Amino acid sequence: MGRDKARRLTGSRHFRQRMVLATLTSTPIAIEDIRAGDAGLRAHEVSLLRLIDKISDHHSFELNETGTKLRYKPGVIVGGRDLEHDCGVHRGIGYFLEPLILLGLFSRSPISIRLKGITNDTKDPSVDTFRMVTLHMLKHFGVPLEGLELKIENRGAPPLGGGEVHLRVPNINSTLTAANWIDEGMVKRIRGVTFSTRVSPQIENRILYAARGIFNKFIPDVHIFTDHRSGSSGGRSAGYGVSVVAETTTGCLISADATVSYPNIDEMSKESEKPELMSPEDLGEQVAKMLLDEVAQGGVVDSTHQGLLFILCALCPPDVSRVRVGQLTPHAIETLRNIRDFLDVKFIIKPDPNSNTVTLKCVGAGVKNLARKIS
Amino acid sequence: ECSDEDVSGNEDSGDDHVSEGSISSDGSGEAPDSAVDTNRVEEDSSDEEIFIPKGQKKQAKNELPSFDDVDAEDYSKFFKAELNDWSDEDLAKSIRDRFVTGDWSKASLRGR
Repeated sequence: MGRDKARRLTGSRHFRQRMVLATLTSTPIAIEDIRAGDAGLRAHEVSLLRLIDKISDHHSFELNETGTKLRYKPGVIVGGRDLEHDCGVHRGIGYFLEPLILLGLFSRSPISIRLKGITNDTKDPSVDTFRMVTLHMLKHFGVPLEGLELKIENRGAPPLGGGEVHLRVPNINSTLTAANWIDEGMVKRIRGVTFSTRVSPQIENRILYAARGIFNKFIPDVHIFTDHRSGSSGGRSAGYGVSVVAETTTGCLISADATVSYPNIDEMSKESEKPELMSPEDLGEQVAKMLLDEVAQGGVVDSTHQGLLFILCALCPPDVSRVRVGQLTPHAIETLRNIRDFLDVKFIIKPDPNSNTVTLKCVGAGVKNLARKIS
Repeated sequence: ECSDEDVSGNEDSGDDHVSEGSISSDGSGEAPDSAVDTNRVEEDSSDEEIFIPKGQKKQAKNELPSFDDVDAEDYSKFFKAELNDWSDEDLAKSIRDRFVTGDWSKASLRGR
């Protein structure tokens, strides 16, 4: 039953969004040709399925032997306390956080979960960015900040990880509320945090001096904290990095983060020699430039958060949401397609040539937290 | 979009992944519309390019724009190829008014 009605998809692209949107709309999906010549689902994707399995009920997964075909019939997201999940070392914890908060909002009971793995890496937003920026986006959609929390217990850099965070996500009563969020404001201060694991704590000062040197040409109010970790709270690998946030007069948070570490296990085989790491000074300078690039874009969120912003808008009740972003990223454009396919929500996109920004407008699909009602 | 993928995916299964990899090594960064995409798959799959060694196929794949790669990596983080040099005075001037230390009257004109 339902076997023929499943939405047919191809390939491994947008795996997380497809799983989340399928779950929130109770749409069964069948994904075929997942890396057909290349061993199908990867470890981090299987780990995401395990995570969804932990917080759901009445759902089913069917995976073929080679991992190239997946059938997923969503059930009810139940959430729960004292959960634990090992995110592995193929992708950062950030990979799992984005789908997890979306699912958590529409869960029967609030989620409280320990996630183990890599807290800071190059591919996924750092847990610091998540704590300082991503969580705060939700309040624009009527989610109270109480009960929303990310605690960084241990840090873990690639390749071996060893980090641990504790995430709490509240479940919403019924729906999100539509957002009219188009005033990006002016940057009033810059905040941030550096980290170092299993290296000299002095490295962090070198990162922040370099970054602050660039920021101070624009604004004096710059505070970057340090978070040196040694022993078990520093995980199992050496690494350092920095996450910075520009706060605007209208409460927008624009972020950038970067991490320096040895290659993760997927890349290790390619480069057998230990590569030379970027210096702390270069890293600080790089992240400062990244943030200024984002500030120049002029959106209410940075490029990394565009996709999540659009999904939140599309999940809202059938009221008009308006948001402003900088140049649309390829990921954001694909997100709009996934939203159209799963939620049947189309955005009206209006470029503003004066500021080089884009205003997007949509009427939400009115996704309700049905899990909560049933209980 | 899903149905577009299905079309190109089902037409020539198996080896088509190889051809898909080679298509976009011609480097167009734009998302082709579905019609163009399908045509290209057909043209290329009849070429000798079907027989690309496994390693090379992967290399071509890495250069793919995410739009037509059904197995594109799932990143929300945006990677900019080249960062601006904000120590350049002219460039710095262009974002001065994005900060509270800049000209508020000019900033308020933004987007009007």
